[in-house]
Amino acid sequence: MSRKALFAVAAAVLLVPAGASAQLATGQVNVTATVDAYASITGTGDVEFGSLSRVADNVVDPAGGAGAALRTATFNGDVDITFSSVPATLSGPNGAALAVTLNCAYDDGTGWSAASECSTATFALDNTLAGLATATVGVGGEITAAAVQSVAAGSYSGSLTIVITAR
Amino acid sequence: MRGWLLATLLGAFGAALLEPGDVAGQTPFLLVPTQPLDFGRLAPGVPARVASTDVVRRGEVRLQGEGTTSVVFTLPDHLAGPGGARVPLVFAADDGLWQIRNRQVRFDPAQPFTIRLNPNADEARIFLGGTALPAPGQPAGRYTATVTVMTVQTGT
Repeated sequence: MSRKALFAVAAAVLLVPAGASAQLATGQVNVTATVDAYASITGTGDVEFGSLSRVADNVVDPAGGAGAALRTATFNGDVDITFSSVPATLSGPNGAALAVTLNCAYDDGTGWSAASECSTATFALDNTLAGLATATVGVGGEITAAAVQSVAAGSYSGSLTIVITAR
Repeated sequence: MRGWLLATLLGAFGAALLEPGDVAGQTPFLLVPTQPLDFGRLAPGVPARVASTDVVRRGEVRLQGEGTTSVVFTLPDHLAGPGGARVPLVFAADDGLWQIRNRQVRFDPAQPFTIRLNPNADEARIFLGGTALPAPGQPAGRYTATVTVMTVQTGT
């Protein structure tokens, strides 16, 4: 309560006419709000396997390795990050399909997590800050030499979706 | 210190002035909270105002009794939320509104004001609006605060 208000109340009490009484009553009004969850995924860049080897497996480490695609997740509450429409093959010339295993990892500021297959991964990230928290999500994967040996030369591509859900 | 001083003042005067014999002939005032001030869902970074004319979201307390009374609000400066997070609150000079029957009067909730209830007035409805200022990175969750309303009867 402001000093002005305090003295006004005190004065009000003091100014009660002689013979009258002053009565106090108090009540409370609750104030409520719910701050909505907020989350975003930003960043650009592809998972880049480059020119594929037919004699050695082709691996991109999702934990910030060369060729990994990195995205920044920003959130104001606890979130789960999952991946949908994760391709098992990349599409190439004339409908050719190149088998791929896409792996994902995250770094919430404490270091990279272990990589896991994106198709089944769920990253539970907690926001312990009094503000926005961020984490880096990395996507990489593996294309085996055997898989490369069985497909035509050309450019192959695919895509997955990163899903961030408030808990 | 101010709170202690106020408590002391009120305690002293309350004890002195609320002797059973003193209240004879007067209808005691009563404050009845009837509706919270509800900002609803807030988007981080987006200020939200509830007007004192917003019948759904404004706070309301009903003042019942008879006579003249001074009304004082103790206004919080923030809503408290998860993990100690805070959403600042601002109360503007026109965020208060009281109504007796069809008569409405705006007031500044940061300042004391006086209401007179006639014997046939039934009650005064006191409304409170305000503005919440969530930060862009405001943590998600439920936030609460409490407004205290105090009346001191000053006349019959």
